[in-house]
Amino acid sequence: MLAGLIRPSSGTIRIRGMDIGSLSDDDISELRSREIGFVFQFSGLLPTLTALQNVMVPTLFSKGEAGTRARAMELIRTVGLSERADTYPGTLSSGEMKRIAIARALINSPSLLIADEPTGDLDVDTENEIMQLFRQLNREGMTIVMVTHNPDLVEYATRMFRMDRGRLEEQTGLHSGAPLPVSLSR
Amino acid sequence: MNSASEFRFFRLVEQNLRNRPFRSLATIFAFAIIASTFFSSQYLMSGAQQSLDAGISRMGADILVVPTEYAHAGQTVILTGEPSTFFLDGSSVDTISRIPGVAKTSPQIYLATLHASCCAAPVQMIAIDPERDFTVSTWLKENPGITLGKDDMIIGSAVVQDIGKDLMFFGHTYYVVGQLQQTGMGVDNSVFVRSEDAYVMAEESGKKAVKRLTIPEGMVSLVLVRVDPQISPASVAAEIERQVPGTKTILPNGLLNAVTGQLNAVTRLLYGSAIAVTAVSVPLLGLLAAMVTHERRREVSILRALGAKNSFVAGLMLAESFSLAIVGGILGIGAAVGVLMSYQDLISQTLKIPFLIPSPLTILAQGGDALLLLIGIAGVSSLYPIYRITRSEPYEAIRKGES
Repeated sequence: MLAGLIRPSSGTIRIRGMDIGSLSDDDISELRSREIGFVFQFSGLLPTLTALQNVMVPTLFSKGEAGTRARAMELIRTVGLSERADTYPGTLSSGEMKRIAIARALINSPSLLIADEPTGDLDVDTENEIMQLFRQLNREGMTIVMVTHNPDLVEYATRMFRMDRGRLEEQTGLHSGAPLPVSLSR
Repeated sequence: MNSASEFRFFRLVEQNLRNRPFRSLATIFAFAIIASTFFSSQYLMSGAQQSLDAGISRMGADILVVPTEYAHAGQTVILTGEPSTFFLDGSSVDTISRIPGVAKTSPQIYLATLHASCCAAPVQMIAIDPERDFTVSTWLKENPGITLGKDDMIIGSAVVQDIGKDLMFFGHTYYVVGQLQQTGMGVDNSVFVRSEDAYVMAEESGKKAVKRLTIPEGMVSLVLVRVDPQISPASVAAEIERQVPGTKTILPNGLLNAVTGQLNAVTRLLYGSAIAVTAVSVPLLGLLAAMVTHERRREVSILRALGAKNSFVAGLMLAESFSLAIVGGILGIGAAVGVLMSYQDLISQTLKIPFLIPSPLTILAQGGDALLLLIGIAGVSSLYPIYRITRSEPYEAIRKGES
């Protein structure tokens, strides 16, 4: 819903002050390509493309200069897979696929990164590297919304919400502020 | 950073096609079949038409008058050069000449030869009256320096002998002075001589030849008629048939109709196959595209989640479909051209039609037509899958992928 893939039945979602519920399908697509990076729970890589090409796919939808091979290679290096850049997803492990998906989510330098269990298939060392990268990106101004079942990752969060029987409640303790209940429409 | 380092739309198309080989090859094969059948029909029709145009232009006649009982044989001689000997009363030439609208008449004697050293099969010998001829004389005017003198011979393009060499028929030696250009019609298998030399040859054949040749006194085989420009050949032809009993007139249109008739069965088969293949292919290609689309729903949803608009997805699917159509079309047309050119003579003989390979420009235009047809089919067969996929909710497909 945050990404405009489904529209809210009530309430509003604003990104950079824009109510995305009022945007046309094309405008939402454009907003997604420009402002939002996705890391799905599954890898979501396209099977017919190499790892490098997968990382470059979002540049097909953006008008900027961000989509260069050099930038994609840099991101692949960042996730530690430079030697696997020309490999097809079918021959990558699930952890490697997840890391390529993270690189892909960052290619257009989005202002919002939505990550669903981004470290689910990763070993502890890679998990730490990815979380350090997320922390760095967050400090540089990127908003990261991450869904996780791993309580060890709480230390990386600046705000934490907990989903409880269809209600989202902000957890205090990390930052001050009143809990923010959000009704989820399905 | 140069543009070559970017990831482009057509690279995505290419990767999608290359890495789905079964779907791509099956679709290419279907398109190749449609293209080859459609193209072959066009190619055969235009080859026959071109040959007729060249052959009729070579004869230079508006009407051919033949004996009624040999109308079919006469037509076959003209179209395919299957040799035949037949006769018509020579006095009919004068009668025809007096009919209003007739500008010129040219009697010819048709003699089927025996096997000769030049030729794998008997050829058609055509004896002309140089004073009245406008078939060979037109060609002679275009080739100054060549004359048809005593015992001279002009040969068709399919007759194998060098100019300046001799050819013997019925024990009579002729001197080859010229060779006509290819028309694809019967004239290619014919040899032209003066009628007075043919009479001498017939007279001497009893002594010199294995088989005696007889040319009945005062007889001709057919009469070529040229009509005044402002007069309708059809009306003159009707008048000839009325005034000269026992004759049948053949007009160029009639020849065309005869060829079309002979071609009809083949073209019906080819067009029928093309239509049947197309009729079956469109839903099949649509089904194939729909199956692939269903299989690719999650992939398309990921593209949508990454920022692709519906128009991008539609463009991607159309580009893939068009690419397969173009590749299949080029392969199908290429194969058809290869087979048709390699077996041109066999096809022409089997179908009993005159045939000339169409010009490269015509072949290109026909290939273009076939490709346009394929692109149309590719577009139509993609419409429903595109409609389905662009109406589906990407979120649902992504959730299915997660479960």
